[in-house]
Amino acid sequence: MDVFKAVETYITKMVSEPSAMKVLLLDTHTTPIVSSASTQSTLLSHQVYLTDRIDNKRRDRMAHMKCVCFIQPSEDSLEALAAELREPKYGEYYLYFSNILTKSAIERLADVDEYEVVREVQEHFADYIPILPSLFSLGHTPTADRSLYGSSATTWDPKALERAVQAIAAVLLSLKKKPVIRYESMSPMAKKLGVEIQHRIQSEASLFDFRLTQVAPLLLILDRRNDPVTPLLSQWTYQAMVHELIGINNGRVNLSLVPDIRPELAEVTLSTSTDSFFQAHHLATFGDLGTHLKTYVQMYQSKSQAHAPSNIQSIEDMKRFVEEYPEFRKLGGNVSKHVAIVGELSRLVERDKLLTVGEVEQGLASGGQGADLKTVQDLVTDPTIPPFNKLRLVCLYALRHQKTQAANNIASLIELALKNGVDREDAKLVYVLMNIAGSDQRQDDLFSTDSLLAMGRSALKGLKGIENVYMQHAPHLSQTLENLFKGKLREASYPFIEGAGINAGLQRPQDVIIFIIGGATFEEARTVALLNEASSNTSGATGSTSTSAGLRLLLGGTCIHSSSSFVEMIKCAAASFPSSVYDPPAVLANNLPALNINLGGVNVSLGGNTTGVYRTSGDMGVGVQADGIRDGMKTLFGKVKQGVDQIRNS
Amino acid sequence: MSSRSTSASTAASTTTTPVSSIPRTITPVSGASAGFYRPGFQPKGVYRPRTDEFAEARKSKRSAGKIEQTRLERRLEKLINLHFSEPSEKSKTLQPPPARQRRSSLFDLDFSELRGKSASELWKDVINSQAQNGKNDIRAAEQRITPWEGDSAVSQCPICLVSFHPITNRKHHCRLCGRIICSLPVRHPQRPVTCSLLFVANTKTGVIEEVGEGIDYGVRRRTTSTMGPGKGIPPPGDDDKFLSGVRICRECRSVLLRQQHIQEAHSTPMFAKLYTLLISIEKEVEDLLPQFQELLLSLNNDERPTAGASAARKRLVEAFAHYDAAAKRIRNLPCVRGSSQDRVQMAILARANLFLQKNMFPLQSLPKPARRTNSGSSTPSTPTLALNETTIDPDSELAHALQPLLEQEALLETFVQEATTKRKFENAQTLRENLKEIRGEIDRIVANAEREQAHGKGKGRT
Repeated sequence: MDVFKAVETYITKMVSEPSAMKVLLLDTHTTPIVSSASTQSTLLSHQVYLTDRIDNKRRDRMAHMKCVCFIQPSEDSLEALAAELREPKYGEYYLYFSNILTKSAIERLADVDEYEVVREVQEHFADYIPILPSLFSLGHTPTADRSLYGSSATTWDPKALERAVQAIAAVLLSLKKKPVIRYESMSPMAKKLGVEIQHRIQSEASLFDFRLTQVAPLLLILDRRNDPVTPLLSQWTYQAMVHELIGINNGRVNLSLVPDIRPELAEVTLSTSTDSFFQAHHLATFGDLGTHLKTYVQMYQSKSQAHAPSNIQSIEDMKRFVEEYPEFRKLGGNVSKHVAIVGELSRLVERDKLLTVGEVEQGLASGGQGADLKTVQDLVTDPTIPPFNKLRLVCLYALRHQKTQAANNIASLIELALKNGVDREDAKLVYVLMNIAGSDQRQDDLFSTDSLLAMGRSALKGLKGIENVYMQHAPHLSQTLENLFKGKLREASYPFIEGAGINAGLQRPQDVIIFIIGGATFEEARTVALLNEASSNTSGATGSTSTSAGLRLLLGGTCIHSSSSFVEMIKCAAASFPSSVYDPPAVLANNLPALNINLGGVNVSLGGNTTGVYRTSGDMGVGVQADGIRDGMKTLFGKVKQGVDQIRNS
Repeated sequence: MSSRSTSASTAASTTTTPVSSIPRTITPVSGASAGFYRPGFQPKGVYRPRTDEFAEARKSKRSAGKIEQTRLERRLEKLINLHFSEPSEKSKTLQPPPARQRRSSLFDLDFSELRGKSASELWKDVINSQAQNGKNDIRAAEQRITPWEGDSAVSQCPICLVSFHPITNRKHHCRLCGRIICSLPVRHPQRPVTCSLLFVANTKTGVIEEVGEGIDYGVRRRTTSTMGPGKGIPPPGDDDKFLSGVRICRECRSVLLRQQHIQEAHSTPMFAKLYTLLISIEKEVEDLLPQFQELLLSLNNDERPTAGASAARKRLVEAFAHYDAAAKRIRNLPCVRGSSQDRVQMAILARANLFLQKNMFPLQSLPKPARRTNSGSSTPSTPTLALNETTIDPDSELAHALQPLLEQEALLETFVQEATTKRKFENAQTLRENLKEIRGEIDRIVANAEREQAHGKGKGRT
């Protein structure tokens, strides 16, 4: 279930025919798909010498070139293609569509093909953006005019729904999976999507006609609203950090805002398929990353010394130099790229005091007791912390303590945030978030606070030792998946779409495709990637009975969120929701006293004993570790930078 | 839906075909990332060919308009013959009434035609009378090809619905379908494109070009830019310099375009020919390389490699030289800066460079024995090399010492060039220094050799 390979295979197939000079025409939808799954050199090696947009009216006529068209069968693209066929600019046309083409669309195109230039019409289901082998995105970051939600947080925008159905059908077709579908019962959107996909599978039975596997694969549809915490956190692994702090857009990172950036590094590509360093370390934590980068730079340094003019003394040296030079130059480019990115990351971390903020965030998000009201208040009043980070902290605090703390705590925090630079419009979002993704909306317990069992679990976690204070939080997805592997995922919370068969609940699926409505995160992608790795390792060992052996996971989302894009999505969506979404949640306003009494007992009994023990030990460890990381980072980057400067100067 | 199910089954049957037989720069990494899954497990994704359905639909649509289309096409052919064939042919096809052919005087006008003409037109007629004579003949011939719509029947342009006016908006006939249209310029929003256009053709090359509006259909040959009506009156009747465009309506343009397309698709420009050559050389190299590699393996421990190996190497080096030359020629073909053609040529050069980088550089790393014996036979690829080769005995010690140096020199030169064009000046600097060192080394060796030679000769004499 490697989506990257699947899409790459499709694209390779499209561009390898015919064997002649080719133009590749794309539309706005397919451009990011092709650019993330293929490289310029791959296209060149298939004789694609020109890539252009189909809606670009000012393309030159080149009758001696053949044209490969890869577009989405949408109204706009079909119209542009029809215009192109009416007055063809190229010799022959090979049309590929990213999804199912209707009969009428075929007739419409046949109608305008007066020159009879069309040689091939095919459907290739590369209709989603592969980001990692086990991560795909629909590339739909919701904005005001391209919304994901309808009139409330539980209904789809019809266009967005159709798009999601198409894309997931394409994922299934490209991997040849005919799954049973489960969804989060709290989410009407998930159910709707599941039903629509099921319907699509049934209505296109001839396409979904695969050899059946022993256990049917599973499509698990989740809703972001059941875990609003993960996308709000600062990230501490390489790929996630880059996305969170700088932004990865179709595999490209825009560094033009970085101070003193060299012009050739203003925009760099960051893809696991073309960059071996990134492939090896995109999941590494920030601390580890520093070490890896240091070795990488040292390797470059030693090579560059070997390539220094003073070291080329014999003819053999020269010969070696000439042979290795292209490779060396490539390495040099890659080293300076990663040094620039990591340097920028560490600059941003320092500038925004993210190490301090992150520590508190982790405390709020994971079951542990890292952060109380006082710490959050201190951070919110700190003038050096940017308002957006304060907003995130308040959101996290509100989500965490919605039920366990007095409402005035949250209200006073919001007040405090307003006084300390947070925009009024943004501050409203705290209530919006509580209303659409608060504890009443969620079906699972996110913070493991209100049951004895959960408390015990988090205590166990504490005993095992957390290797890094910034990595305490595990996304809710990992809990869901663990339950799934153990066969403990309850059918009440994760029901099947009708027609799954009677025994569906008893079977343990091998292939699981997870789709998160409202966007996945790189943190979840990391969880999935690590589980995949673990399962491929254990299945390699003979007859292992580990729960995750032989499992293959694939994660997808309507988009890949950073905290800013998530907040932006909530903001845009709330604008079209009923205005009551901005009001403080009812639970806070009215029946608070009663609630306090209900929960009070649990709180006191647990808070006193168990957490007290772990708090002290945890705090100590945290302090030491955090210092270690901080010091390590600073000295490390000093060294790395020096090294690079030396190389550059020599 | 039977066609659907069959196509789906063919899709299912072609699952095992390997895809990535093409050289890619990213192969090792994608292999590693695929390691998360059991290797080779993933089936190829579903695809569904719908070409047959498309062809079917196209066939049923096409047959209807076929007759009308062929008729228009035939008319276009005749029109082109009439207007753009060589003068000798023209006189044959025209067969004009002899009386009119004689007229050359300024005042010798056909009064029957004056009726219904405006004053400005009359004036124009006087100026262009010489041309006008010929024009009337042509007009008659045009009407023989296409029956023209009567002037009185039309009061407004059928496409943009603007009323005609004897001065500001004159009536024009489409020479293909015969109906009356206007020639007004583009005006938003009611007329996003002009209702009629002019074209010229070249019967020899078959090239059909659309041209801009010019006074009285006089259009400068080979211009595609629009000429404003104020740009001066072209000297009438000067057939060598000026061609008059033939007017057709917007709706008949497709016939023209179709003809144009067919003609362009059939002609192969220089560029395409060079490209075919390039690809054929590439194929040749790809065929030769494995053979050579095999030969090389058998040579590794051998002190004296076979003649076959050196011949193969020679052929490869030659092929690379040709390849390089072809790629550079393609790049240097004239084209408009920034046009698609320019981008294509640039891309082809990029591909060629990738290919050379991938295949030519490994060629340099031959084991010593092969290199030594080959050094004499490998063809010189740079002028410097050729220069030295002429003066130095190829089998001498000196040649052996020089050969690798000279090769490095040539390579370094290309690197320097590349680095400079890519504006990687740091790299270029380093490379230039290396180049200087290599050149110094060459000079030193040559000087040494000369001294020795002189010395040896002196010895021989004594």
